[in-house]
Amino acid sequence: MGLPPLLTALLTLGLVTASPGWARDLGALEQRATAGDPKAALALGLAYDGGDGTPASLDLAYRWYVEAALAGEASAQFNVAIFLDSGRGVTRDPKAAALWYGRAAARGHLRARYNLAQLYDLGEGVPKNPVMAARWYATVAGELPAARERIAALQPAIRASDGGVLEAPAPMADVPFIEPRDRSAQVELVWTMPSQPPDSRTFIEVVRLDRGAPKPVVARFEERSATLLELPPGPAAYGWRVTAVDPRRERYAPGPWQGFSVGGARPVTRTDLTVRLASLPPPAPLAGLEPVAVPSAPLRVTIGAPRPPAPSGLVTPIAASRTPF
Amino acid sequence: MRAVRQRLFSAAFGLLALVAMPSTPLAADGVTITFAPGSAEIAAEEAAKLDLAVRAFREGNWLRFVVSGQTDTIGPPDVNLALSVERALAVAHGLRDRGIAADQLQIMAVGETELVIETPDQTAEAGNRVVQITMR
Repeated sequence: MGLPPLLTALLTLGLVTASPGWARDLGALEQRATAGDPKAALALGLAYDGGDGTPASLDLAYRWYVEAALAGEASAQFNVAIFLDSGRGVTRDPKAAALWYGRAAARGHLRARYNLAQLYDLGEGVPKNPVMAARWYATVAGELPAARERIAALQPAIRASDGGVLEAPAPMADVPFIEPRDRSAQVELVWTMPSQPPDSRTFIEVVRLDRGAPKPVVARFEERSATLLELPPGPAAYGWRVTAVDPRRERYAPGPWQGFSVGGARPVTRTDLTVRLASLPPPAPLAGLEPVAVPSAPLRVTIGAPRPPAPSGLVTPIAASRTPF
Repeated sequence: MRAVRQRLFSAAFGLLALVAMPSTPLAADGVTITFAPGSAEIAAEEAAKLDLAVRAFREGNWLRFVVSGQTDTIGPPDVNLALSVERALAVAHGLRDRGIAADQLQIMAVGETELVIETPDQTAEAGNRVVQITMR
């Protein structure tokens, strides 16, 4: 088709191919995957997905993709999202798809970013939000002409919308998916962002909880609805929340605190969330602004539902040792 | 032992698949893009179908888009073949613009030789002015 080489190279980014050598030895691959090698789990998912060296099985493909996705493999996260978004192989669940697109998007996955933008564009699985759609499209506009077209097409809707009232973002997951021993922990944080008044901003806070008084470790503005945290090695427990800020009206709407722990640290307790974090003074950018209604109960998305339950007594679940999510 | 376990896995999930809840796929059987007479331009509402197709498309070496361009029987066959090539390329470009790698696209053009809806020669039929996208 005569693609320019640069475009071809860009389009090839993020594309995964199962090594045929691996695919022929599924037993060894499964051994490595079961032992916790996310690349092997991804390759196994690809093998079952395509029927490569084994009869094709969407159920097994999905399960192994989830294994790899939980360990932070962006391509596997994207494939899990596609299963959930398209409804092929699992029950369609755009909300769960948005979470997995968000995780992969936080890791820079091109098509995950485009598809997440689509969900905000159409209001599927997330609130309809042309501003957020345009921001996600903008991250891939250099590579994908279709994203540039959608940004242009969204401008009237963005100009016409007053964005409504300031509304708290809703966190989509509070479980870290990497349990590192000595490596730094990568944790994807994903939230949904309803339409906001013009010039509103998003502020994210991460607070360490397991050593003495709660200590803020991240406090920054975010443009979009997902981010990748790099946390120091070793066990630690954290709380996090996302806040919508309206600097014009000097107000902010905080989302609920969520907790997670890494490296085998103690789990985050209810007291951590409702007492210790709630008594923190507002961080500098929010000081002096007026908070609007704090939601009383944390909003949670169950991401376990689309995963088929392990048939008891027949087989060992793939991730028997992993904390259920 | 591993082989046995794997068979058990397959058997168990085969059963699960049978009792699985009905789903509503976005683009289960592929997507058909319809064109105006004599045109290879993708209209806006047809472009939305490309987005759906891309959202149903997983990454993997064996999964491909087969893009097949067709025409109705108005006009000479050789012109129609050329038109079907343009239509197929327009859709292929649309998919590429949405992040599908070129090597995942198999592009075909059949002119008026494989009609979706059988008609006599020189018959206008929107159902034949299509590009069919199927996923494999």
